Amino acid sequence: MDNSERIDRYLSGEMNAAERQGFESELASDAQLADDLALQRDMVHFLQQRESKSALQTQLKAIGADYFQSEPTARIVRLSPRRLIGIASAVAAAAVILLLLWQFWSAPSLYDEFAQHPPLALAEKSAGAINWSETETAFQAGNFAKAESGLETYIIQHPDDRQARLYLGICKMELNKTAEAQLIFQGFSDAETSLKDLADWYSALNYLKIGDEVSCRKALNALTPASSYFDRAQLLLKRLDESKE
Amino acid sequence: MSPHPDQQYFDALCRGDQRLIREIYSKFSRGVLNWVQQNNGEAEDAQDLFQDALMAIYDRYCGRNDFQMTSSFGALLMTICRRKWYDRLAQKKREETVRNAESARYEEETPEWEAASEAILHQQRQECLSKVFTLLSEQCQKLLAMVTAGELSIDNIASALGLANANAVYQSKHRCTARWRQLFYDHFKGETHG
Repeated sequence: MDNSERIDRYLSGEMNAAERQGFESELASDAQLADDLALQRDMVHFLQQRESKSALQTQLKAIGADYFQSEPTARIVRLSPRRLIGIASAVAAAAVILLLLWQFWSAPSLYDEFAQHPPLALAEKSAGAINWSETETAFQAGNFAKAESGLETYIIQHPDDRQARLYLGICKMELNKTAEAQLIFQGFSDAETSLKDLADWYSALNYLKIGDEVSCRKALNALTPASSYFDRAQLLLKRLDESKE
Repeated sequence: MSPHPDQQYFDALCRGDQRLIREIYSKFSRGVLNWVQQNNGEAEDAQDLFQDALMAIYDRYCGRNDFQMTSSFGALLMTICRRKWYDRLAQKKREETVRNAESARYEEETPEWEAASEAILHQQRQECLSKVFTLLSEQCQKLLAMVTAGELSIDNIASALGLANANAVYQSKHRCTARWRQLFYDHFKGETHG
């Protein structure tokens, strides 16, 4: 009997106990049969998954474009040496001025560096008449006032969507309504782990935003290694330490 | 025992969960992008690598019941990206440009490295199966797809494919499988480097 027929019967559970036992003993001593079994499992996997795999590839390609954007490439223009010297002098002078001005400007704050928000996704969760993509776009574009307003409407219609509520907290934090934001972030102690982790992280960021470093450190230290935000919390703690040096 | 919190990311890939997949990109893309850019790559390389690594996880995890989670999703994803990038650079004979080539050797000892190697091997096998599947006759391709889908009875498949009866379907199926298997062995051995 051809291997593929026996393997088929084995994989579909058609063998009786004695036959199955015999087949499994043979597997232990016959490397070719074991290879054929592994391959036949892969063949079934291929046939069963190829449509959903193809759909996933298309989906990933579309999503990936939002996260990996290359910087625009510069056009190379050839300049004469004289012109180059002129430009270099102007650049040097501008650099000195900028350096002086820099004394009065602050570097990007730690908050700005760490407050990188995951994109908001409402449209795919809602089958209602309202198109929530405008709220998503507003959030992604940093128009937090518009996103806040949209989210408040959304939450009235979807009061059980806790993730949307958390994003409302992010909007409020960005709009400097930090007390309201903190109340929201603290309301996730009983939420599923991923959401609770996110809320705890944002609670720390909210403290960072208002300059309450003690509470920020306390919130960061409360994040355990099991949290998805543990590494980022450790990095932020390190950066807070460095900023004191 | 409650599942590891990262289990949700593996499951999200299997069902194409848009929200969680976006979360995966949001959490892990920056790390991969920075690493690739530090190692002679561009944003486009990082995007391609990231997607390819997610597909390797899909091939290893989705629809299978023999996957043991030995590391976090992020660690596995990053390690697959690193391995694939090392391989791509090596293919282009630019391995000297990988700044962390030394650390790559250390990584070979880690569970993540082992899991990444396993996922990549599964992906390579699936890619080879896909390639040689197209070398089968149209009749074989249809028959194997119909039998695996299980949506039609064997008699209906026989009728749809112009075969005499259910027995002819089974015989054809085994013949097609044997041919597919042989094509796989011929091509896969030639494609891998051990």
